[in-house]
Amino acid sequence: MNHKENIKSLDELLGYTIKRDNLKFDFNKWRETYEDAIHDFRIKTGQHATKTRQSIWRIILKSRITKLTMAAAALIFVMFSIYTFTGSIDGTSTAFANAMEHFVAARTARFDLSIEFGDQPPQTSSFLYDAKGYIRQNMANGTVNFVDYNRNKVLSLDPDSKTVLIRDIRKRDFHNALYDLFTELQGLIQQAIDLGHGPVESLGTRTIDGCPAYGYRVETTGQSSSLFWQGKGTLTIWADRETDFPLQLQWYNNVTGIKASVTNLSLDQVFSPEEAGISIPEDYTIKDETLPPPKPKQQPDETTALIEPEPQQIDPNETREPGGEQSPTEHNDTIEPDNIPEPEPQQPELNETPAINIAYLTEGLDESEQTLIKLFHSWTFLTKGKFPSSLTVDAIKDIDPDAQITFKQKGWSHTFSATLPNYFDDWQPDIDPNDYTDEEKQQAKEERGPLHDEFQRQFQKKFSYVEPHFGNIAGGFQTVNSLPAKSDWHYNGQGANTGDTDMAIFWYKPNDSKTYRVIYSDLIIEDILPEDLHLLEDLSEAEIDSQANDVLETAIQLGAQIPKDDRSKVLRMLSLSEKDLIKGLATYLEYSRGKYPASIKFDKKFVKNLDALLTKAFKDDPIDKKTGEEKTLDIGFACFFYNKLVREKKDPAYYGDSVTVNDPDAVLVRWKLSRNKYRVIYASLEAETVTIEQLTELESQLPR
Amino acid sequence: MDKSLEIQLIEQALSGDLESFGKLCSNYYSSMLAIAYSVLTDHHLAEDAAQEAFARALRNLNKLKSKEKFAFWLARICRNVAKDMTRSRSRLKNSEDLSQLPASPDKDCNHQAVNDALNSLSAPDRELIALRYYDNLPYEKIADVLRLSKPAINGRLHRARKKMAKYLQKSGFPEVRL
Repeated sequence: MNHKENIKSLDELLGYTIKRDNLKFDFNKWRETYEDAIHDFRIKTGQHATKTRQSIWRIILKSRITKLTMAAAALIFVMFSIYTFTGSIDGTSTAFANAMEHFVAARTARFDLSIEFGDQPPQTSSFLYDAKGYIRQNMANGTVNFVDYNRNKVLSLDPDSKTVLIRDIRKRDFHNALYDLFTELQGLIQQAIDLGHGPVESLGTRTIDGCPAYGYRVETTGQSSSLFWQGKGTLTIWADRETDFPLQLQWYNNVTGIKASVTNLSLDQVFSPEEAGISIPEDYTIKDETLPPPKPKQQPDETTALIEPEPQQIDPNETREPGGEQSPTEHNDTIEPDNIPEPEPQQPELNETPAINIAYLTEGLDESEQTLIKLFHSWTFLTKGKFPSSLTVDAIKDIDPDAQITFKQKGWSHTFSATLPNYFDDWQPDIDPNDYTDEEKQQAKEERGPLHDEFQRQFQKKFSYVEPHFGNIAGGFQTVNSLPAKSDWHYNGQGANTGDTDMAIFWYKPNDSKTYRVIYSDLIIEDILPEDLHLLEDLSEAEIDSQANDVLETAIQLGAQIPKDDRSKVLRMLSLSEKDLIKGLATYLEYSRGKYPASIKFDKKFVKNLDALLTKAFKDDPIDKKTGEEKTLDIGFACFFYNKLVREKKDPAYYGDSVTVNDPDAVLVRWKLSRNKYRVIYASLEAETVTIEQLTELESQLPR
Repeated sequence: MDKSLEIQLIEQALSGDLESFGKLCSNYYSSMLAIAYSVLTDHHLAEDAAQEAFARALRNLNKLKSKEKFAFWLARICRNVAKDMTRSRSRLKNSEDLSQLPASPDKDCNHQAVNDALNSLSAPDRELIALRYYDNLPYEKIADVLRLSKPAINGRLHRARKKMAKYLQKSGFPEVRL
């Protein structure tokens, strides 16, 4: 069989093995399968479609536990968004700024907050806010939530079950964001007014609550770390025409389609004692989750952990400012702060929330970076150490392989519901299925959720441990999505896990920064110079080839005189890799009887020695000129690659002066890959990546 | 597809025209299948990977820095999707994979040998071979996807086939002796 026939034969075999006929892309079918991608695309291209995001909100709102979080954070997103407006102040802006100054100076606020999205009924609550440290929320269904930041407690009165639930807000992720942001908010609004931003659109006059009012509208940038107030939006404010006092605020998130309205607003009022505290009716049962868990022997039944109800009143003013004057709202029959038992140290739960454990990682970071750290922390928590396969919602499959299918077919809400039980491997609800009627079972099955009160209680308790993780993940994805293209962000965590302590997972260039920020797999963030980025990147050979080709093409276009015959050499020079090093050294070995060159510095001495070596090798069997050139080039490219390592300051070392092929496991060449990893070429010409500790060990064994 | 038309379609897609994106997908479907196949060596999984790549591309279209490099960018996404899928391959392995179903004992023998030879190639070479043979893709299209010149493709294809032939020869394969 001749050469031509052989090629034909191979072609046929390849055709048979690989070739596919009648390949046609069914776009309509693809559209049906990837509705979520199309949805995201429509949002990004400004087309209104909020189905998926609404699903997330439905889940959040369906959870009784998250309602308070949602409402409190929603309050802040309305407030926070005020300072994110952009532009310059003109006459209208000055009036707008005047209105905003009331917010800056306000110490207390009373208002109604209504949140609307999609076809959901509005969620309305009345709020009292005191910058000294508490929020009281009266919900439409009668539930009252009282957040006391000085004691780190949340009290929830549920009139349906007649219970009071006391929780420790330090176990909730919203505490710091809520409290610290308010103080920060006021400073930032002031800063925004001082600096001058705009444009502010005038909406003319309208009567609001019987007062003639001016309207202003500004576009907000939505640069925030929280899911609740992220995304570009429009803030509309109506202020009293005479006093500039703000009467109404409305914020519309262009991305999520969520509308939040603040009405019946009054600032700096003194609250009555009844409003400033919270009364617990006599017939209410107190369930204090901040108390240490009951000892099994003494309290075999969980209900015994409940505190006997007493008529009581909690006044947050009482201990708000140690050493300060007593508040005029103080009541004689309030609970003394010392009487509220402080939580004792508890054994960490299996699913402890990350907020507790990552403070040391996020301390000092800006909010965006904090959300990224939280994203990776929560993700690796849920996946037992694995980083996301990508920074898109597709990565949900990492958490649950089936969830991706569910997600594609039914969206987020079902995905969450279907996925949740996976985090509770060790958990079975402590209820008897026989307690259910067939109808209830069917209903439970259809709703994919718990039905029985006890089941629900247990489920929510478990859910409360993972819910912050979802928040962290969603917040992190939002941050990534909001990074501008010029941030040059790069995700490198595919396949990585938390054990890879020196692996760069994510890097980006903050606005106006000369350096990049790099998040490593141990979630430590470091700065890196742009010229050192290559230390982080792991380009594939195809990418290197491609880049080399680009460079060559550009050079030729710019007028570089590169003879056609030499272009392949230039390309090889531009795409040098460790393969060139290995190939060159292997070629050298062919003619040196097992000895490596003492040095691979490509200089006159090296060329002279190489020439002598090859001349001697082919003395009795002269090779043609072309083959000789190829061999020389192969060896030369090994040197060029090593020189490249030197130039790039990758800490290379070559031990050919002492190592021979008789020491196959000895290090012949090494260079740095990343913070803690080195690439090693052994005398056997096998390559391996080792840690710095392993390298130290290997180099200690080198022949002297 | 003409380059200017492709750029026009990308611009239309960026402004929200989904149909334009669909045309781009149709144009590069076989290329993406080939790239995915070179990683997964499974035709069914390759289809999944290509379609998933389109979804990722759609989501990230606004991040495309250079419209001229759309195909190259798409290929990179597809390569990554396929690599991701290899990790869960044992779960996803499709029993109907044609690459594992012999048509006849002789062909099965050839098939296995060629597959082995393919797998002996480096990833870029395997990808190139797949691109060339999956749907008889012209050099021009391969050049678009890999950002290589036609001579470079020609040279690399030649070397890849040579390597395969050498491998087959070493394995005692009787038909090919290049």
